[in-house]
Amino acid sequence: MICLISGCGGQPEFSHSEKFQTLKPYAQIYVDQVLDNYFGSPSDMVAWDKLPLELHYGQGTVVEASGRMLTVELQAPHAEITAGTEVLWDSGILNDKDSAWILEWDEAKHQAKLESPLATNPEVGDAVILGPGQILATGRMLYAEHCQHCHGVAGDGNGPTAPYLNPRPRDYRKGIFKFTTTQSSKRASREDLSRIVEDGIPGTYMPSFKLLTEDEMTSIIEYVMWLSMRGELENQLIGLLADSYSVEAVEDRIAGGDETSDTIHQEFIDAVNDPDSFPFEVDTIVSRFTSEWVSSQEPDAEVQPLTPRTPSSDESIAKGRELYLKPSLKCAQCHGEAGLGDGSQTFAVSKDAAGQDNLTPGLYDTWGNLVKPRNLHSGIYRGGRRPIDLYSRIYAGIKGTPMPAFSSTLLRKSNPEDSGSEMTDEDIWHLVNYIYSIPFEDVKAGQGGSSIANPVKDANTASEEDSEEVAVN
Amino acid sequence: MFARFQLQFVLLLTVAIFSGCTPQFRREKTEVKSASDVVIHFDDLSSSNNSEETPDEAATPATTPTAGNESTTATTPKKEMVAATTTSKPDVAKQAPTTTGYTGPAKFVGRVVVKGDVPLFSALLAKGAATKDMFCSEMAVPNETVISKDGGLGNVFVYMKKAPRKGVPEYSGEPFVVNQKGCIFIPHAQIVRVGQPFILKNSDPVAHNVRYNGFASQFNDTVVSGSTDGLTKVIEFPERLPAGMVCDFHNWMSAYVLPVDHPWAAVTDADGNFEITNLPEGKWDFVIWHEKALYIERSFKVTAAPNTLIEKVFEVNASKLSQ
Ligand code: HEC
Ligand code: HEC
Repeated sequence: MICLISGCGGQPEFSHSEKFQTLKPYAQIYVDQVLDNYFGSPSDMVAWDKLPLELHYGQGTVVEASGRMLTVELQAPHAEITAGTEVLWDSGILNDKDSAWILEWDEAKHQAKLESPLATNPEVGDAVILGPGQILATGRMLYAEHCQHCHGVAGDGNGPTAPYLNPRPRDYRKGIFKFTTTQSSKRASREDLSRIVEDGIPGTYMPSFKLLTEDEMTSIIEYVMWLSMRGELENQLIGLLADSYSVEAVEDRIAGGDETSDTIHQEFIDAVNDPDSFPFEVDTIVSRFTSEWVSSQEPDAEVQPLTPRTPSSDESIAKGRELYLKPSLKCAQCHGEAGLGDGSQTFAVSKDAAGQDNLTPGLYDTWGNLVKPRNLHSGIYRGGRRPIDLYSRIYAGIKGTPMPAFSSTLLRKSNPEDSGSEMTDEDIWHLVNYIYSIPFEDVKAGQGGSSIANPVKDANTASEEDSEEVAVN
Repeated sequence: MFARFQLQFVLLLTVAIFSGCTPQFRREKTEVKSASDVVIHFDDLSSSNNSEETPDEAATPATTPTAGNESTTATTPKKEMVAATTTSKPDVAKQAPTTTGYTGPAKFVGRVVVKGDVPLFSALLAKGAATKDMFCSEMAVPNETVISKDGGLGNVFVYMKKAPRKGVPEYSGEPFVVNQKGCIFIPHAQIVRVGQPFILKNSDPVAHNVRYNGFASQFNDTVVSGSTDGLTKVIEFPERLPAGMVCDFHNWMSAYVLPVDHPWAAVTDADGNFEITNLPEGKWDFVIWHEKALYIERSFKVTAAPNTLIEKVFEVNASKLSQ
């Protein structure tokens, strides 16, 4: 692809993941080919239908077509279709023929007036794609403008601004996002991602983007997910190849005595060309994360409280505090008895992913960054301050961090004596009420009686609509 | 699940955009590549003059710094080629001798032993050591590197690298239980079948969490203290290497779990022995891996046929265990 506009600087490139360099050169080339074929480059992107993303403005079938008029039935929902939108023929006699272009669009009738009359009319039922790949392309533009300098071209969290930030911008390539309202085993939902982008992450450099239109937001989120999938495929594929074709693995194998550099290389080539080998593995990797992303969008992936929020009261807050300090729950071990984020685990030496001791004591996230348990006195919640946000953090944990899901521990029978009684989640609500009250505590958590500044009122107002009230104070 | 061959019917649309300056879109038909165009094919080794360095002319990585000068695109020193040819030996597959006189389905048995002076491993948590949950040090937490008196190495994973495409027996066994007892994961090293219910229990009076850190999937849950019913999890995806499992409350606690999509996997017992039975006929690659020694074998070849017994002792240098 040639940049048509000269003098506009170098084309952005997707940078490789760290482990890429450990591979033998032929394995590196294969990784590049796979990524290039299914994802392209930032300036020449490939919209791959296998990915569960909304990449086009709309998709549908021909209802009626003649001359300059085209009526289509679109799968809902679709993005705004405007003059100049491309109509790509996806099946039928026009398949592979030149696209048509929309001059006027009647949204009510789903009817288009085309720029020029059709030479051949498509059949009723032929598949059409409106604005093919346009969502991705728009997402890419907006991402380059707003997000790239922190999150990096490849979504590796390594943009030019990133080295100066703590916490670091998220690296999307693991497919893991921290602040979700989905079950502990699920990924982020689209709503989770768009909420983060809209509200930002308070207490970090992740800004809020409130001025994006709905269609712009959709484009950015699809693009973030697309980058995440690209990065995950890269990481997983490198992991797979590194087992046998990293420089180190090849050395090991040669030292074993029966294999030579040539036989190993030949084996690699055979595996690339054997549809049952690497191509199958690539397909397996993609199918796995695709199905995970898809299932995470379904309603039952969402954290759904069993009961409405227990109203905040002195009693509920006291119960919450008791739970917080309960040795069997261990909130205090990370967040500290006083909730200052300085529990004993922040001083303990933990192990990294390879099982080696981390140099600096404390807790680490999946990306290998030191993470501090939140100081609960600050009243700043990165994942949002709605009751459901705090509820989800406790229920499903914070993904990719040591903070575990507490659903299995905190859901209990409403009557402990009666095993037939219903399950209740009121303990989670007590904890939520307590967390809301901590910033107003005069005394440290776990000490003395309750001298909390009007917690009932404040905690109750911490609802979706007027959350600012509590944040100020 | 997605059908394997769906790939063949997938449409690829290329969207060209030019960024870095004013957004500008191509005003032509968006290019449509059919799936057959994207089949990635590498040249035969024989057809390329230098196997190590020019695998495929079509495939030049975008990052090759020397682009434009073909004769200097070599990234691997020549030295390696030489070394490779001098170490080449007649084509004897790295294989254990098979024992004659055995009848029954193919069986792969063996032992992993430590060679050299075995280092002294101190307990991970000494008896009576000061720790926030004093309960945990009522009994010492032993080091997890298990070596028997005569040098057998326990907790070594021995498993078929890749399941055969066909003929893998369905899993229909019992759920598998990991208990946390005395602030130790029991068992420490375990194979699970993908989809096999996996019950996490906690017999301790203190809370534990279980953070499973696989490459393909992860979870992190708390397990109620004294929980006898436990918490049931299902690991849905196989891993290529055993995945670590830790408790973030007690840093010495660790375990390894290997989810596999076939039954041909085992963990060595405290004497270092393993046995894998009912191997299907064919030539299979086995991985042998230990948490400290890491790879003992990356791909050990086993040729299985009815009435064959494959026996092999694997040696691990003691120095690899002390890291
Ligand atoms: C000034 C730097 C900066 C910019 C610009 C920025 N981010 Fe972020 N972003 C961050 C940081 C820092 C974090 C991680 C915060 C944390 O870990 O608590 C983050 C985290 C995220 C997350 C992860 C949320 C989660 O639940 O894990 C997403 C998604 C995200 N950003 C998307 C975007 C998008 C989309 C844009 C552009 C519209 C953008 N960011 C712009 C700094 C930035
Ligand atoms: C193993 C350590 C650990 C335990 C146990 C733990 N947390 Fe956390 N918690 C963390 C860490 C680490 C973070 C910050 C994660 C991040 O942003 O990367 C956190 C963040 C939080 C937040 C802030 C969420 C936000 O949106 O900013 C709340 C609230 C919280 N924890 C409450 C609790 C409660 C209540 C408990 C007990 C039921 C608990 N935690 C137990 C480690 C822990």
